[in-house]
This record gives sequence, structure tokens and C-alpha cells, in this order.
Amino acid sequence: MLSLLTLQQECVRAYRRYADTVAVLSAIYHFLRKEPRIADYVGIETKLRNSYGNDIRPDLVVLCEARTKGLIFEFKWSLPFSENLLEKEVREIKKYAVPCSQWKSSNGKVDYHDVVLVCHIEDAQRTLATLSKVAKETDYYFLASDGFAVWTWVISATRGGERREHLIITNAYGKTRNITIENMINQPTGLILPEEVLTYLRSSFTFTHEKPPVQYIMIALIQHVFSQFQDPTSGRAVYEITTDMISEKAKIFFPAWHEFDVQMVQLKRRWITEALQTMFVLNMIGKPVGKPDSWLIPIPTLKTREPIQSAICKKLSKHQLKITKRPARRGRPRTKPIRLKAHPKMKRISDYF
Amino acid sequence: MENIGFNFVDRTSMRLFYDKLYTTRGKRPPLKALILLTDLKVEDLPMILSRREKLSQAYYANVTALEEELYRVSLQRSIGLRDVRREVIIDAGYKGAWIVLTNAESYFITHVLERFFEKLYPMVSRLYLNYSQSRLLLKIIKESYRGKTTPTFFTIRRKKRKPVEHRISPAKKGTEILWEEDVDEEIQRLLSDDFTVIVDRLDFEVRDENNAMLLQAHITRKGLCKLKFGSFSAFYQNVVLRAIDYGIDRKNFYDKRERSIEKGTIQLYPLQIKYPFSFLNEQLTHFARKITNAYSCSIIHGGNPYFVANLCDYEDGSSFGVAVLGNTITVTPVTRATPQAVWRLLNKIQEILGDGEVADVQMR
Repeated sequence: MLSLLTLQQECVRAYRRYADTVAVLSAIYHFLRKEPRIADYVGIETKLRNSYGNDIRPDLVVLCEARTKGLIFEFKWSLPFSENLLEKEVREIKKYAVPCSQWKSSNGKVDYHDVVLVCHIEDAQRTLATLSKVAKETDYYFLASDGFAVWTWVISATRGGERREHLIITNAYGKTRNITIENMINQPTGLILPEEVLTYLRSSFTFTHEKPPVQYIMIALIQHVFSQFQDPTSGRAVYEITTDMISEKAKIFFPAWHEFDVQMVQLKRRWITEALQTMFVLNMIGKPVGKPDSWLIPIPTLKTREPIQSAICKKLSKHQLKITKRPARRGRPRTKPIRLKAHPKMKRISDYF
Repeated sequence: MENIGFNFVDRTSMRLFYDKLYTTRGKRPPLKALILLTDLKVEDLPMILSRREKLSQAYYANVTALEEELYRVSLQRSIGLRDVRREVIIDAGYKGAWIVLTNAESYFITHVLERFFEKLYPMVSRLYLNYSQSRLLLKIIKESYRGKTTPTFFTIRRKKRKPVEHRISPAKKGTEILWEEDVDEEIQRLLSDDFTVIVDRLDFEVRDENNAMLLQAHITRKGLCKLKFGSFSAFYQNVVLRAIDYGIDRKNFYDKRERSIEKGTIQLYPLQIKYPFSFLNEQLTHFARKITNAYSCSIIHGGNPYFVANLCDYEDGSSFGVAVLGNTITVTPVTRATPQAVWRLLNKIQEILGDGEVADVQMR
């Protein structure tokens, strides 16, 4: 069993990793938008239909060369350690690799499109090993062909501040068929993105297409959504708010929220509901009696002198430990027989007769 | 100590009284004018107080109207077993601002008056000035007086950016007074000596062509003006009202900076504070600790020396992204970024890391 500290550290690490992945998505999005020689169109969570007839929403959809070639980016904030699960994730990429329609081109089609998987450098090695294994299967030959690449990202670390930090994107596997992009990414230093991607552009988006860890949604709700309901004239107060009201205020933090269909709205609402339920379990918020869709939310929700991610991860980890430590119950619950004992000073009932 | 005067019934009698009092040489407490930026009505003060349970337990305010937009307010705070009570005059005649006038002692100002109005944030906002803004305001005052303005001294707080461990005696820190002649050079010297410099107060005097004293006053970094000697009317017109104009101008600069979506594109309106030095890990660790005490803070990068965090103002609900990279701090308002919240955050950052140059960032 993991210790409280390890659970807490893992929880904070997941929070940070997701936040950084959103920053990388935002960085590549802004970088491509400013490079008209590469991209004619950059869309975020744009809907496409693949040849299986399924609707897909990759994180980024790019159109190049007069909108005749496509490029799909899929961002993974974390990839599983279990080999089976990782294999499953890799196989999932196929839905993006097959021919797609509904591109933002004149006829809704492109000559061909490439797929780029973007992950953290820590996940890259495991992913590459699994990719090589899966690529041997005939259905997944595309993984070993031109037109599929894995990019990794890292924020360059410095010692003593002798040089500035940069967000660097490097090619870890395969290649795209876009020469300009390949020339940029294959520089010895990797693709060094401009400084602003590490500063204000980080605030462009809050979520990617992938589901964030619950602590991330909780923090986003506390800091950016609940605070919008706050009445500054009355100080700290408890507000009765419905899940719909919260979803409505939160929607602007999802990229391409204005293009969402009912299915997507429901999906994001489920993320929010899960976070609210977790907060309820952790006694951070309450629930009014007889109103299943309403919450009693104190705003400010969590006042703490430590970083909010540490405070929330501590609560979550404690709760997780409590659940895992609880012994499993077997059979009928036993009741202890009650045995009454007379106090030495008490009189016997026979004394009265 | 009781307030001097306060028998006046309107603006004219107030001006006459203070003009006479402060143009004669003698021993008396300086007149304090606290500048507050707010759209509230002074009559509503007791009602606002009653809505805040904790605040109403410690403070009591009674408002009496003297004439249009001029009020006498009796303010009381229970400190331990005793009650500290003084009267102040609030002039709300200038749109968007209150001027609180009193000649009460410093204890009342620090522990009752300033505290009270700070607790009324975000409905009431202070006027925050950093070093370069103080200099700019002084220039405006000089032009307004058409006289010779001489800053007599700046009171600054300084502290070492990086603790020096190999020295036997600790590095000097604390308050220092810099005399006018070479203040810029002195600040540069301190910065090059690895000090963080925060300008707390600017004392200045205005003299006419014959070198006769017109005004002796000072202004703090939180918009508290003090008149020691000189015409009250001129001080009011040329210092207090000019400071309010400048404050309202700054408030407008910080306004409408929330993240927005225009034609499907996200628009951000970030601000930057630039410094002549790059930040060190120690400074960012100190910064993280201090800012977490004041704001709801989720730290993504804690300083390598790259620092990134999301902040939320507990009282106001405004939220921000803050990034420290190299010699620049970038503040990106996210949701509900009221101008007072932006201004307060920029001041807080500068109080921790030293005064810098605030500038707008054009999103490219």
C-alpha cells in the first residue's frame, strides 16, 4: 500500500502534468497560428468523421498546403504504466489515422493527413517500445510509416538561472510528411517555442480533450468558476448552486465549447459532476435536502495558507487511504450482547420486598 | 488625543479652518488625507458594515451628513479591552473617490482607519503607487503647483535578494531614507548590491521663486497624503485631487482585462512587471510562500527559477495566471478581473519582490 506522502506527491504531480500539457497544447496552437507558411487553418477540437463513421475530435486539427493536407495532433498528459493499458491507448490512435472527412477545406476532404502524438518525455520511452510492438501487426502498419510521429516536450531546466527556461518540442519517433515542420522539429536543439508560451499564453486554455485528474477539475472550479458566483459585498457565504449553473460558467474554459454538440456538453458536465461529488465526499461542499442537482458551496471554498493543490491532494489522499484501509466485512454483522452489571451501591430488587 | 477642530459644518468653513491651521508655524499633528477609490455612497456605510458579521463585531461607524457629499463619520474599533474612537471627515464630492480627512494620531490611522477600509475591499480600493509611479505623480504635482518641487526624501524598504551565508554578520536590511539629490543612483546601487527595493513613502516640499516654503507634505505607497505645512486648499487641489486623477487613470488602465472570446479567438490582456535583474530561486521560494498566504494559489512550477501559478483573490473572486520568467513577472487576468483586484495583486507582488516597471503586453 502506498503511503500518504506518496499518494499526495502523485496527486500533485498529476495536477502539474495536466496543467503543463494544456500549456503545450496552447503553445503549439499559438505557434502554428502565427506560422502561415505551415498552417492555413488551426482548429481546436474540430469535429471530423472517420471512415468507420465515427465522429472524432482530436485536440488540434491543422490544414496545410492550401488546405489539401491535414495534420492531427493528439495530446496525452499521462500514459499508463501497465503494458496492456498502454497498448490499448496506442491502438486507440487508429481512429485518427484512417481517412477522415468534414475537414475545413472546400470539399471537406484532404489528399492525406498525418497524425502526431504529443506526450511528456517521461512517458516517451515506454510508448515507443509499445509502438514498435504494435506496429508489427498488419492493421497498425501506419505506426511504422511516414505520416505518424511522436513528439515529446520538456521545459528546459537551468541551474542558478544562467539561461532562460524554454519549452522545447522534440521528435521522438517517426516523421510527418510536411517538410517545413520536419525541418523545424529536427533541429539539434529541438523546436524552441517563443517565451510567451511559458507566460501569458498558458492562460489561453484550461482543459484539453482528455479527461483531467479530478483534483485538477476541483481546483479549476474553486479558482475560476465558483469565484464567479461570489458576492463581494457579503464576505464568505454559502451559495446554493445547481450543476447546470456551474457547467454554464465553466464552459468557456473548454476549447471550442461554442461548437460542442449535446454529447460533448454531457461529457464535460460529467467531469464537473464527478469533481463536485468528490468535493462533497471530502466535506468541502454540502447538498440541500431534496434537491439532487443542487449544491451548497461556501465561497471562498477553501482558505488555506498552503498551495491549494497540496491542500486538496492531502484531503484526497487521506480519503483514499481511509477507503483502502477499511476492512472488508464478512457475513452477518455481529452484535455484542449487552450484559448489565449492578453497581456495588445499587440496591437489589429483592430488598424492596 | 482628540481631533483638532471638527466644528465646521460645510466645505468652506473646513477649508478656512485648515488653511489657517496649517499655514501658521506651530506644533500640531499633520493632516492626513486617505484616498480611496469607490463608487459606494457614504450613507450606506453602516448598512454595509451590518452585512459583514465579523467586521460589525469589531467596528462601529456612525455617519452624519454635513452638506452635499460631505460627511462626518465617527469610527470606532474594539482593540482588546478598549475602544478606539475618532471622528473623520469624508469628502465624496469627487466622482469615484472618497477623501478621508483627519488629524488623528498615527495609531488610529494604522490600526483603525486603514484596517477598516482594507476590510471593505473590494468595494473600496486603495490607491497603490510604486517607485516610478510616485515619481510620475510628483511631476504632476510640480506642474500643478507651478513652483519648484523638491522631493526631500524617499523612505524605502530594502532587503537582500539572496541571503549571504558566508558572512559572519547578517546583511543589512530594513528601512532606509534616501535624500533627493541622487535617489535614482542610490536605488541603482542598492539593486546592483542584490537588494530588493520597495519605496514606502515620498516626502516632498514645494517652494516658490523666492524659495519660500509653500508646502511640506508626503504621500505613501498606499495613497495616504499628509500635510505638514502649507495651504490646505492648495494641497487639496494640487496634491490630493491630482493623486485621485492619477489613481482613476491607473484604475481604468487595469480595467476590462478578463479573458474573453472574440469571434472564436481567445483574447488575453496580460500585464508585465519588469525588473533590472533576474530572479533567483530563493526569491521565488519566498514569493511563493508570501503570495500563498494572501491568495488562493495553485503552484504549477515553484521556481527553477521559473514560477507559474494560478491565483484567486479570496475577497473579490478575480482569478489570475502569474508567471515569473527571467526578469519579468507576467500577470494574466482570467475571470472576473476587477481593476481593484488587478491593482492590488500588482502591488502585492511588488511589495514582495520589489518595485518594478508595470507595462501592458500586446498579445501577438
